[in-house]
Amino acid sequence: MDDGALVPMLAPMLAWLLVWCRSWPPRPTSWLIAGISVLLAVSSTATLAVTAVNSLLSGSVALGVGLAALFVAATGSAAVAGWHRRLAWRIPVDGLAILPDDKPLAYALPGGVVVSRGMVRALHADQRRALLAHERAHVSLRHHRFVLFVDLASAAQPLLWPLRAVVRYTVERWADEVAATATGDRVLTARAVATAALAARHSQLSVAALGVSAGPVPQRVAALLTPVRPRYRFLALLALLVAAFVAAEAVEAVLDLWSLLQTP
Amino acid sequence: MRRRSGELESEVLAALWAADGAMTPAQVQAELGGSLAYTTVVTILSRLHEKGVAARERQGRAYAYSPVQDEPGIVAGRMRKLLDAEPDRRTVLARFVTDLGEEDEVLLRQLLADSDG
Repeated sequence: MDDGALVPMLAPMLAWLLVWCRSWPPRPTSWLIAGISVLLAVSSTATLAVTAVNSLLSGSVALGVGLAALFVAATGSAAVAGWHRRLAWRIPVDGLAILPDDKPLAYALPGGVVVSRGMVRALHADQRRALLAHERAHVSLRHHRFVLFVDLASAAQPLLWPLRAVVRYTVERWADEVAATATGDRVLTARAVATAALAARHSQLSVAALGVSAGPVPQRVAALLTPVRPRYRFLALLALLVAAFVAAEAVEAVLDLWSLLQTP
Repeated sequence: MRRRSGELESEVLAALWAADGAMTPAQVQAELGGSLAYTTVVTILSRLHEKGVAARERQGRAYAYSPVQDEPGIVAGRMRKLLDAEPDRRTVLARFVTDLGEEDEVLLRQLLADSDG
């Protein structure tokens, strides 16, 4: 059971390790982040439940009740996070829906793409093609599931919180790459992203927060303009090993409890 | 480059929405950079008309097409107002571009200028 204490310590370490990999090739990185998040959240929630039952069995009621409350909070907040987006996902979009709104907006829903009148007017025909290819990539590659799984995992295990922003970035990069391939023009795609962001910014009447360091959009544009292929296999392997260790610990804890319950 | 018909429909529909008034097939073709054959544009426009997302009126020998607000767009608009009230809306929708900070704008303009050359 003492080993189980390693799990909550390793999870944030791993989360921070994965924060570093946002510039890796977006497709495998999105899979890596979603997979590891789910693995860690399930493992740590299971460990929590097992430890709670163990404490109750061994007579430390206060600790057991406390841990059980944490377990309920973890599963409960995951359920709330999942319930929340049903509202947006129920919009019956098939293919492309145009929003009668002069603010430049574009987003993907599980069924299709929503683009505002303001956005189609802000872009040239070529740039619109890049935008539509990008949004279609989100839909056909089911990127909403990657984001959903990481959100559910971080609701259950709050130490995974930083990965929410990372997976959102990597699926955007992934869709950017698909759009660049579809249009056959990385510079065009980069310009579409940049033009859309600048148009959206100028439609806002409020003054944006000052002094924010480089946000995700310039990073995406830069990545399209100067594609780099960093070495990442070692770190990816390390992350997988740590996640496997955490999962093994959780399985061991569950098995221990099982055998304890079997002995009369 | 080959594109599927659904993709072409989306592009033509977006072009109609980007324009100020009704467009003839020739105008749509020119707006899209002449990458599509005239007959293809005509076919797509009449398909959009059949679906009820584009209206048309006679203009000389050809039809002129203008976009029609369809049900999903209206629902999405209504839903957007609902989501605006949600503190969570940024996390719910995968948006094409997120908000920019002051430095982001400078950086973006620099990147755009550099990619010009």
